Amino acid sequence: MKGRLGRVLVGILGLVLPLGVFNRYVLYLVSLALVYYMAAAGTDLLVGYTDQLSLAGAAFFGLGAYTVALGSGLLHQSWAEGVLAAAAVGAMGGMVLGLPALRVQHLSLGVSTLAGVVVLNTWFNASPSFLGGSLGGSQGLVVPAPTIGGHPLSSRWLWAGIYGSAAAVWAVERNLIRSQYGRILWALKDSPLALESLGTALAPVKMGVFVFSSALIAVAGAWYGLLSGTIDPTVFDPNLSITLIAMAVIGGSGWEMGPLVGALFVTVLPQVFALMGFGPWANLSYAIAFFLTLRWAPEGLGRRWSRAWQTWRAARIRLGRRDVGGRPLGGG
Amino acid sequence: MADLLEVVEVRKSYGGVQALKSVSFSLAAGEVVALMGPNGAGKTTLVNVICGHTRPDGGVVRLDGRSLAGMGPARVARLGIARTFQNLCLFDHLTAVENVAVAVGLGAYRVSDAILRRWAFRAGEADILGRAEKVLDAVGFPPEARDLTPPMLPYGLRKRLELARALARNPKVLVLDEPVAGMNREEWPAIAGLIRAVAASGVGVLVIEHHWPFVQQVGQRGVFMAHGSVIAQGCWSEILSPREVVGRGLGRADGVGAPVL
Repeated sequence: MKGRLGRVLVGILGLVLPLGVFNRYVLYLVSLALVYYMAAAGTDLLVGYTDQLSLAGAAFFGLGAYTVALGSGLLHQSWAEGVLAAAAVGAMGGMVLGLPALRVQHLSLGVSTLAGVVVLNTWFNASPSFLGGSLGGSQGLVVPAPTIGGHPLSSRWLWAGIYGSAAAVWAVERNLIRSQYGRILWALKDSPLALESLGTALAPVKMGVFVFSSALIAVAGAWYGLLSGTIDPTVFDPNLSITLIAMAVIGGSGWEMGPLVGALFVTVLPQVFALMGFGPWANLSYAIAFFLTLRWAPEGLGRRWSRAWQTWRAARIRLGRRDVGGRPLGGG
Repeated sequence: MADLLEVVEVRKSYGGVQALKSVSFSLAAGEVVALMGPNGAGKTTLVNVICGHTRPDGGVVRLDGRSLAGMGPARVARLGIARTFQNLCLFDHLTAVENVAVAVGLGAYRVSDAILRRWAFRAGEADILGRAEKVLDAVGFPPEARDLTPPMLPYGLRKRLELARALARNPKVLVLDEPVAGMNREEWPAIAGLIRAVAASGVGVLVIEHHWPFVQQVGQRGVFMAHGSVIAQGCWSEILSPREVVGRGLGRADGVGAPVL
């Protein structure tokens, strides 16, 4: 219970502090980082925990963004309804893409999910008409400013909304991972063969994770639309899929804080470098961070610490000394 | 007594190679049967057929009289066949107790219970971990090593952990693929005792093992395979003695190590 109180206090501090300290631009930037955090968390669930290389992230991000834009433009939905609708559309999109894509693995899964992104991107660029409205083609769409009681939401309220949504995503993912279902995800990554022979059918687990992850990424896309005010088919850019995976990996995949660290790193650091006049260094810093995490903590800093602790424990309790700690830590 | 597990005329070919040529045998509840034979005899293919990993070309496997035809490994496992693997297949990112918890906790509570941290989750989780610890105790796994991950454990304990994980499913049939491979000889009697105790509780145990002294400690009957066929089966006195096995070029004189063709 003490831990929970601490988390709530840190949570409130994280909400209020930026309002007092940051100017509008920096507040926008951290809002954007939290939007990407949600998408990276969804990506991490799939790529980090269950080891399924999906490049469909941008497709669901874009679906979420377009859902909120069309929902408020054509159906006069409120922003909250738009975010929920985006989750539903993302989940459905996940089912549609997951059914064929999850029959293959690794590189084939990556390629087939990438195909999903390219198809959607092309389709939205071609400016089809949809439900009697236009999808805007390469010009994109304006996302009406979110309002509450007829008044447009200030950037502070928008921050609060994004923060609340990100906190919910964090709590959901944390609770999921620290349960029987989290153990099943790790088991799926470590030995699908053994998991299956314990009575767990793999297909529904994979599909469930894929759909859940798609819904999370779509929610992030919806907030992206609300935050930026305009969207165009570049939100379906395959580069975004790779950036989302980069966020999950840089922070250390399979660690609940990992996507947050990764999202802050990728969103905020280039701006900091640019302000300091070292623009070109941003890309180099990516490369270095990538290298360092992949070399030293491929499973995330959390797991790295727990492994170090494990080695120390194993050495102390002397379980047949010869074999204990035989495996090198980290990259090995 | 009706047989718990029946394998009837099972056949399987890979390309032109007949891995199994009409194999039949049976296993009763409470019995330990040793499945033996040189490398390439078809033992692992047979186990994969029994556990639903491989679909046979012909023949049928029955559990409690019910045909397992067309069922995948998860289905077969839920009906009560648990297995261990020749090369350990443990969950390396999970602690020992969590490894067993994966097996114990299937369907204990719903995803929504976990996400919302409902009471069903708290009660279910406490129950799962408690049961997992009991299973680990039952196979003689040291309590102080419960929260270590498999890569940190000595080999013998990893073997015990895999056995515990299979037992946690409360199986009717337990299939052990080389349970003492890579273990010290001093550890054999403990593992043999464990297997006999499991059988005494009414589980049918199929042990795939090369080591004659070990299988004779643990099993009541042997099924000897070579080239995809059962060449002998029955009680130890009825089938080949080690000397005869050596005479036919199927094993080594000291009975240790893999018989090599």
